[in-house]
Amino acid sequence: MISLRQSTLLVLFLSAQVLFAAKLPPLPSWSPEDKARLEAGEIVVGSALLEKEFTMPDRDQAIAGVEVVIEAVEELPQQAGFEALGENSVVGGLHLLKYFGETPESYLIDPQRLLSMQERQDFLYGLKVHAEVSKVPVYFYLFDKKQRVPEGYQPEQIYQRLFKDKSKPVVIVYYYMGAPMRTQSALVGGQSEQVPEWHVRELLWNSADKAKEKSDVFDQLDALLGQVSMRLFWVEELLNELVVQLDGIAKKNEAVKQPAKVRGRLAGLFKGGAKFQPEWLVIGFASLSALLGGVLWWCRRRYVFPDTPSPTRLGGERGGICGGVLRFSDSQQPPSEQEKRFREDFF
Amino acid sequence: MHLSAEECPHCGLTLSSLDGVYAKFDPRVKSPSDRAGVLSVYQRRKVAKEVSAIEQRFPQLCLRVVTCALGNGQSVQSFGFWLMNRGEFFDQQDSARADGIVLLVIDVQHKEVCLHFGHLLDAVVDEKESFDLLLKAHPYLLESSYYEATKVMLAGTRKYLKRLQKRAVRRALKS
Repeated sequence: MISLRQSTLLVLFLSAQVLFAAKLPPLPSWSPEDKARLEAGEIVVGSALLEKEFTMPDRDQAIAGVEVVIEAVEELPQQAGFEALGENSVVGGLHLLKYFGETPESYLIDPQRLLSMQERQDFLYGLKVHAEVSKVPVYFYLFDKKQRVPEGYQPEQIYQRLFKDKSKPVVIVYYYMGAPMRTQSALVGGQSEQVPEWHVRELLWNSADKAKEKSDVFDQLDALLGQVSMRLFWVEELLNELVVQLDGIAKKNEAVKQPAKVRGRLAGLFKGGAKFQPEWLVIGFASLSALLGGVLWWCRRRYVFPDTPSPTRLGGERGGICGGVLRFSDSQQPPSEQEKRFREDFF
Repeated sequence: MHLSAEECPHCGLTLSSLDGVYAKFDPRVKSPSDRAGVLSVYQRRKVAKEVSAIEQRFPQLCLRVVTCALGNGQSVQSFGFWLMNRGEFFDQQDSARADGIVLLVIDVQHKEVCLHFGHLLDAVVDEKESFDLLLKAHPYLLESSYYEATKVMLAGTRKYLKRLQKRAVRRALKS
């Protein structure tokens, strides 16, 4: 019978056979020339790691296989009319359709994929947060640094063409990556026409100026969004005031349109804009009358005692009962002490 | 004091015996009757006005404030009892009843104060309650501010009389 030790040795032996049988790549070996130089002392093993300055190899010296992969990606066939736009070109062709073909579903419009996946997510998150907090959402159209938008596609024109709901104000921004000072923007919709133009212009200029301070392209874009979002607060305040003022004017106009007969003299008393209702007058008059009646009744109220026969005391015909006697000769004797004995004192 | 008793079962006191004790006292009672001379003219007018206002609310009653300085053998209880039954009350309302007298007697000599009620209120008055309404005036009385004390006690008397009237009506309805 095979013992446990023998069986273990058998298993180890078989495993070693299987490993040796597997096809493994050959181990690296020195070429004859390098071996000769190594023996001559011209090559020191690991000297590259010990050098102070480490220089990256040139792109030309990169592995040939990797080069092939990159070229394959760049040489993907492009859709007709949707060729990649040059850095210094006018946006046209199918790109116009991608940018301005339909009402934007997202706050970020970037069909050229100028932002990486992570940057896109971060920036979209910022735009959504702003839209949740603010009443004036911001739509960002991204272009490359020197690209140009053709005539007829300016932010105001795009708003008139694409946005159906014009009751709410929005901000449309054309941002050129790496060139924040080229940014174009427009505050459109709602009561935005009442906002002074210099106000919006100053907002954009200040935001772009702050964004310019950043060195990274995406940081510039992010900084611009932050600045625009913050500075839009004051524009919102201005819009709120305008809405209140315009509502007041509209109500006044409605009141003027009403015929003079309906208004009447009494209606003029309610200047707050509330409609006059005759029932109020009746209720008010009735309440006032009831109040006055109550006060009069209270003032003229008489307390009459019922006639209850009572026997005389000590022969007194008019009265004979007296209440408790309060003594105030001694300040050290409080009324609470007197209260205990006042019944005993009577006569 | 026992009801219907002609004399006190403890000391044998009767109304006729009090006539001798207070023989020197003037039985005329005005509003207010400041026998001790502790109120100024202005204060008397104010007190009379207040008393009149209370009397208007209670047409059957005759409320009087009496200040006095009693001597030995005299007490505020017996003086009030004597004055109520022997006094001549001036300036009463026409509707006031003879047994509807309420006297607020302040003895500035013995430093005592007490309220007396006529037979009209006999059935509903409680000694403890009438004592309580005087308590608020104790600080003023200690300082001999009789006018302020009188005002406070009259205010308490007005409230107490209202309570008595409601109590009397309730009892009359029950019986």
